Amino acid sequence: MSEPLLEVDSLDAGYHGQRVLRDISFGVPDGGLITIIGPNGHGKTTLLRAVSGLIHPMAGEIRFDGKALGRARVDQIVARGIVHIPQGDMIFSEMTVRDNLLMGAYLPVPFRQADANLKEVYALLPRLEERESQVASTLSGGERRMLAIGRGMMTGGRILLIDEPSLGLAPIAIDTIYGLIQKLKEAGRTILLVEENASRVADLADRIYLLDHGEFVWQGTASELDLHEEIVETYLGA
Amino acid sequence: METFVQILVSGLTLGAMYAASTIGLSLVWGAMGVLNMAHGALLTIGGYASYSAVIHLGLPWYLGLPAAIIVSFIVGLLIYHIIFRFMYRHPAFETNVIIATVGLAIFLEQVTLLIYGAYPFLQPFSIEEGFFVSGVFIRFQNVVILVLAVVTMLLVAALLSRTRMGRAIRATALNREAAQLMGVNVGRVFAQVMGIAGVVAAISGVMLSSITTLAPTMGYDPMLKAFIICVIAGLGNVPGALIAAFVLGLFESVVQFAVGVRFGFPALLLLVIIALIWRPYGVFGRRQVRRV
Repeated sequence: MSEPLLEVDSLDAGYHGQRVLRDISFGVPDGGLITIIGPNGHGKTTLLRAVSGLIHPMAGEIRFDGKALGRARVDQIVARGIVHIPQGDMIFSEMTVRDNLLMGAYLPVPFRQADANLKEVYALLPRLEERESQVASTLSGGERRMLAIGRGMMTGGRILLIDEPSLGLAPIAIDTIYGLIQKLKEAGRTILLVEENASRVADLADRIYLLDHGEFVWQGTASELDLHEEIVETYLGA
Repeated sequence: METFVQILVSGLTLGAMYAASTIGLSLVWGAMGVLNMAHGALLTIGGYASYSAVIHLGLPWYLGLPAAIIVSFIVGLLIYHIIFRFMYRHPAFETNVIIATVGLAIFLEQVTLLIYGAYPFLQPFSIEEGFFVSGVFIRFQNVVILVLAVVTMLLVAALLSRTRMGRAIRATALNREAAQLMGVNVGRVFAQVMGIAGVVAAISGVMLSSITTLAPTMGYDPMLKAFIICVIAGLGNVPGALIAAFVLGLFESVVQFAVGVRFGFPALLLLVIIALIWRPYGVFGRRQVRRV
């Protein structure tokens, strides 16, 4: 297999001198979908924040497309093609749906392709086009999640980091969101997906990592996960 | 009828000047969540820059305002680069900025005093002509101030709602981290906001000093009024601030006419107290109070 697009190497990260993540190593191949699962409060979001530059690593290295990210600023990391779709959406609640999407195309390169990207997002998410001029705070939970993902797509980035896309949604909305993620995967997008529960992501993921107390305690494919009932029971309660 | 027109004209002129002083303050609060206590100094600098451009540099009078805009724009950027840039990542940003900008305001005031002295200079331009409406003489000066203020507001509103830069400013105000994740360089947005605040402050400083006089402390009063307007409108709410500015301008004029000039300001403060009891987060404030 060729060099992974995103490569995390012996990463330690955390907040205010407290280590949350210890010795995390994994790679996301171009066009692949890698999932990190595990209980809440064990470092999944911290890992994504370290990759997108919201926090800086305490040790180890993150490489994207063969080059180390170092201590680059968040906006510089976005410009290189890493798109972080944060937990709880963080949409711009008092801006219209269209303005939210255009914010995704803020940087000069995607800004020039904004019209084409907007068409692509609307084709995939017609609901957003219907609500184009509505203020984002009036959207339902599922629509907000769609908007957050659509906004991420607008950046034209090369890898999407998606943090708990099913969080707080009704089952039917979760189906829609996972249908969307499936389509993104089929379109060849590279995705790093974080979820608390494996049941939704197992079939989509090329590889699954289980994060517990800031360390990977297991990794494998979905079919291998089925063979480990004790893991499923201990961590995922399914 | 005559009194009505008179009150209307003076109220609208006051409101226009209040609005122009408020935009910058409100924009800085909205985007960065801090109070820029040196906002009044930006007004003062704008007023003196216009005076100096005409009197000392010998430029034609109509270049006074553009000169003021350029100088205050640069000072606004400098405030970002000298103070805000080193503070905005710190958790105590809000408090630190208040202290730092109070210090800066005092410093700038003393520098102005040192250079110009306390003499109440007049702006080297004033339009004495006017016209009559129902028997009331209205100076073109008031009309120019009103038009200039409205045009400035429309331009700022268009900048915020239609441009890529304006969208980034609004996005940063709504959610700084999410804006960063869209590739927004927050530092650059803050610098842009300070630049815009400087431009608008210069316009309002020149307008103000054109109907009164220049003074090193001339920025304090409009800044205080701007605070009042921001608080009534809900801090950071620019459109609400504009409505509030005109309402308060008219209110002050009515009180000044009906009760007496010296009761204008106390009446404003009374109105603020009532407004805050009625709606603690501002009359137009939508979001909850962010911090205690």
